[in-house]
Amino acid sequence: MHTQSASDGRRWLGHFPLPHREPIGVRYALRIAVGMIAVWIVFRAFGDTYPIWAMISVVMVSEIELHASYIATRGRIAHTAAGCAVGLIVLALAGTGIWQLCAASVIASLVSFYLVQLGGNWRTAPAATVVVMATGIQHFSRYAGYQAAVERAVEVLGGSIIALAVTWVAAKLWPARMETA
Amino acid sequence: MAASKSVAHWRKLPRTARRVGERWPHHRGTAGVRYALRMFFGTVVLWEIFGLAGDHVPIWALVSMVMVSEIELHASVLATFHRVAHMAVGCGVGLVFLAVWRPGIWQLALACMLSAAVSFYLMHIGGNWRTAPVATVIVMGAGFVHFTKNAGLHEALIRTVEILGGCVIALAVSWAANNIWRASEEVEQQVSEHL
Repeated sequence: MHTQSASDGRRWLGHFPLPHREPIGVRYALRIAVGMIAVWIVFRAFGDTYPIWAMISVVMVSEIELHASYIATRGRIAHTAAGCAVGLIVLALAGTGIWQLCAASVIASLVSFYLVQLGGNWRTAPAATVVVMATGIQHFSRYAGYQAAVERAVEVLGGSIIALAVTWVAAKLWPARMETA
Repeated sequence: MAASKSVAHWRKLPRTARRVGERWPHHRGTAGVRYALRMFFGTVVLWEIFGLAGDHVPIWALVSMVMVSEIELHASVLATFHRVAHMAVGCGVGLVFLAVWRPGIWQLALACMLSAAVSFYLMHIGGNWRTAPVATVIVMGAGFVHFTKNAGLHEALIRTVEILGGCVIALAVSWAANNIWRASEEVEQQVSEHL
């Protein structure tokens, strides 16, 4: 009876981050916070007041291990470039509208899923396309869409590179024993 | 005969074309097409529903729908629930921080740390824990684009509704598509049995 309740207690405690466990979640959280502050400072210096895509890139790309972070960065940049390119082409050829948005998201999904094989999340491409096309619809202008594509591409590139740099510095300062999560 | 002809044809191709052909992902099958179709229908449904509610360009709902769409026949509903749970955690943390403090980089960094840690440690629900801090960044971003606290909170609530609404619509499309797919497979099986 006593043994049973003790094992239940241990199992329950196992759900929480106890000091003896490798604090991977804490490492991730700290890297994300440091990366965000770095992104904030860098992009504000260039006049971008809220670099939302750069911050999201920091969250998506931050890893414990440098190589994993490099692969995630490469994939994110490639998929974003593919998504923005599809959005720009559809905007230039067909203009703005809901059917153009649907067609662009379908094309971006197919391109990203079948052709861009560099790792990372393929959904980044249709998400980028949706943002580019929806911005064009929101402002009734192709040029707003072009601007959104360039902004998103630059922010994702900058945010991913900064996250990679933070991971490199963190790997030097606080090398991990367990490398994945 | 046909096989040897196709091999001969393959050898005649330029080296670059052969490399592209070798890299073509045959193993991925029709999954990409099914994902693309779900995104198409999801976009149309979402656009109409949010349009009826007065939100004519629901960008965050679209992004959320794209990130949540799933095709696995048996696990899609569960996988979508996992993502919705992470997004709900991220939105909740973002809203609380916006309601309590003025928006700033330190608050944003703290909120993201908190939602990442909560999602990583306490939510034993599977799925990608990064969805939570991403939702926090999106929701708290509303506080930076509006000057007053109330306007920022209002925009943050709209973004939260968009994010969670996009997830729910992705779930509904996934459920409907799975049922249609299953029904079509059953019909195909019955037809093949009759033949």
